[in-house]
Amino acid sequence: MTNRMLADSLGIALLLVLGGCKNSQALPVEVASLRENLPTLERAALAWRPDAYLESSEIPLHNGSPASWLIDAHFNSPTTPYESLLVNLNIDGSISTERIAHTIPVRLVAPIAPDEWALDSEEALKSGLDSRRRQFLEVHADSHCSFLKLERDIGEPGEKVVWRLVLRECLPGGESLPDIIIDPNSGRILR
Amino acid sequence: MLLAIGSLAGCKFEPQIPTLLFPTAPPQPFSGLAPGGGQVAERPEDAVDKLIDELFDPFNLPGDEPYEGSVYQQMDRVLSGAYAYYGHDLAELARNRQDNPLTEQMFFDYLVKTGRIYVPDPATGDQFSSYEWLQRRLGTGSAGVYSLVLDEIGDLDKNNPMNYEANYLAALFTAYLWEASRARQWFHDQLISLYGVDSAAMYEYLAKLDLLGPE
Repeated sequence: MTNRMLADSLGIALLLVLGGCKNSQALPVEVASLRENLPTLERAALAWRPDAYLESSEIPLHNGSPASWLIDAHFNSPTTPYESLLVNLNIDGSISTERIAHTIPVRLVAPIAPDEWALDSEEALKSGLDSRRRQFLEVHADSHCSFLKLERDIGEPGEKVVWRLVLRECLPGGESLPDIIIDPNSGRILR
Repeated sequence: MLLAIGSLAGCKFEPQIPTLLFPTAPPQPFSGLAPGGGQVAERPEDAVDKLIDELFDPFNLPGDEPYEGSVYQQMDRVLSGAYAYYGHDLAELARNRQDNPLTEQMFFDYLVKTGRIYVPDPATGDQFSSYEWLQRRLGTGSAGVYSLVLDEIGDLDKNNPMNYEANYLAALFTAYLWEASRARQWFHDQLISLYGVDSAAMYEYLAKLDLLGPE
């Protein structure tokens, strides 16, 4: 093996080790699994309307967050233009629902299908947490109101499903970082 | 821990239970003025809820000043006409999560062209400047809770003052009711986290925030 090849091999090995370190780095916050809990949330929605479909879902980043819920999911029904349903998975594990009465017809985006998002919430968070964002969560470990949201990218061609990562303090005027839009299949940062 | 809670969630499935409940202080007398001027006992948490509702109302005025029937309501209605004047459907703009395409200059031009720079105050007969009213609204919008709703909706520039024009905010809040409701919940939970059951301290903070309005 030439010196050049040896150096290249060592370099690749180092990158792999560093990459492994990065992937195994503990997350500074906890997120509930949307994938695991969605069936329960959907059952509540189907009790509301048999044609209910997932419009979007928000998952607070816990540890330092005041949120009293683990996941909420918003459901639309194509046959119910003036009402939608919010389903919460609460901190105590209970499910609660809230009907939302609309004064204008609900904007019926395409349902979010399971095969449109391969990455679960924790994987999406790992993809979106660069050093700046990780530092934000560490600095604001005592108090922040950050969340991940699975939604359609309204305004972009095709209105694809994306994960949006929002990092912010809680009160008006507090620090926040620009939102990160994550491809829910590859984990690539879209913008 | 979250996984464990998540796996338990299916066992506690209760589709029709009411929405979130929060720990609250035991009911205590709270000094509030009834519409007729007399003292009434109002629960502190009710007073807090009411004030939070007001803060999340795009047309809210600071303090107890009524909006309905006021010159401010009249001015906002005048300003709302600018959207159609420039060929925009306000509701459609909001639903598409677009930043407000109107500028302060466009509003000014609209008011000049329609001869409505000043509108009479129905209460006093005095002339009020619609344009100055707009400037005050835009100048204070980002200081309030509205930016929390823009966070929820996404895609909107929180630093663009035009996104805080009251009619535009109202259209956004109407199109994104869930997001507005969720922002309110975040805010409420944070207040509980900061103040616990001390509703009086919470009310004091909210009242200060309320006074940041455009008056």
